[in-house]
Amino acid sequence: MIDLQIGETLLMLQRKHWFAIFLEGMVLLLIALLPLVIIIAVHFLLPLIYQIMGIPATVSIYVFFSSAWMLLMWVVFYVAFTNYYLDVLIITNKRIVDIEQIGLFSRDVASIPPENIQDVKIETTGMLATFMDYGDIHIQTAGSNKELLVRGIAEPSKVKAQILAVHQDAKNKALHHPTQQHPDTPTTTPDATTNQTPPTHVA
Amino acid sequence: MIGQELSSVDILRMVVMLATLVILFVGVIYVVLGFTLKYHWQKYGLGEDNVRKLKRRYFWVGGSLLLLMLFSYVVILFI
Repeated sequence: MIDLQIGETLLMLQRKHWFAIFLEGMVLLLIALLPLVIIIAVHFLLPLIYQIMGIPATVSIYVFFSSAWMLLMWVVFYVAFTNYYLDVLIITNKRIVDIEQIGLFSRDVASIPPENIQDVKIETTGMLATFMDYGDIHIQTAGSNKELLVRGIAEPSKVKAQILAVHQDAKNKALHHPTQQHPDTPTTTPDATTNQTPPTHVA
Repeated sequence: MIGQELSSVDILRMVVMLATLVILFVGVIYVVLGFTLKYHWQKYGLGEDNVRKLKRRYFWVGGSLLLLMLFSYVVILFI
């Protein structure tokens, strides 16, 4: 999902809690089964429809529109699943990357250097969120993008601990090597650009 | 049609027109979104195995529903 830089290691890749897609799937399943509910509801009208159209035509029309409806719901579920799967928070030793897939043709990727983090706050509201262990995570930064909000992430306290550990590590490194440049900062020396190895791709 | 009663043939004709539109609309959405989703899964690195698994499920379930739709459409046409 991202290309790792030289010397960068992946520490954590966290998605939204599975309950989010489960809930969405259940709602879509109920909507997909709506034709069954309708057929039961109009049960008393059926003799009249049979009289007008005939039994084979009525059944075929019903099967046609029901399967069209279910196919549409199936496609919608796949779009929802893709949105869920491509929304990730990636923590490496050099940056925190939040990837947000919005619909099918919009993608928001925010990258924060760990030394820019000022505060990490987690918010778990409600009984379900408490028992299932998911919540929102707010990452306050010193840059122009003041706050990063990741909603419904699984195991938020574990994520917070990892972010703080990376932040602490970056601070320690800055204290011991104050002249070292951040990897995000572009280098202009010819040696730095020619001796680069190809970046690693993280799935 | 005003002042006249709709016969079962007229209703069936309207249903066939509506069904043709539905089949075109849903079919196009299914095929176009199928390719778009496949592109997304491959581009953003879901892994070869996962992509194959997702693709198979998408096309098997969707394809079965599409076949059911086509079959019932043909039945409506020949009634």
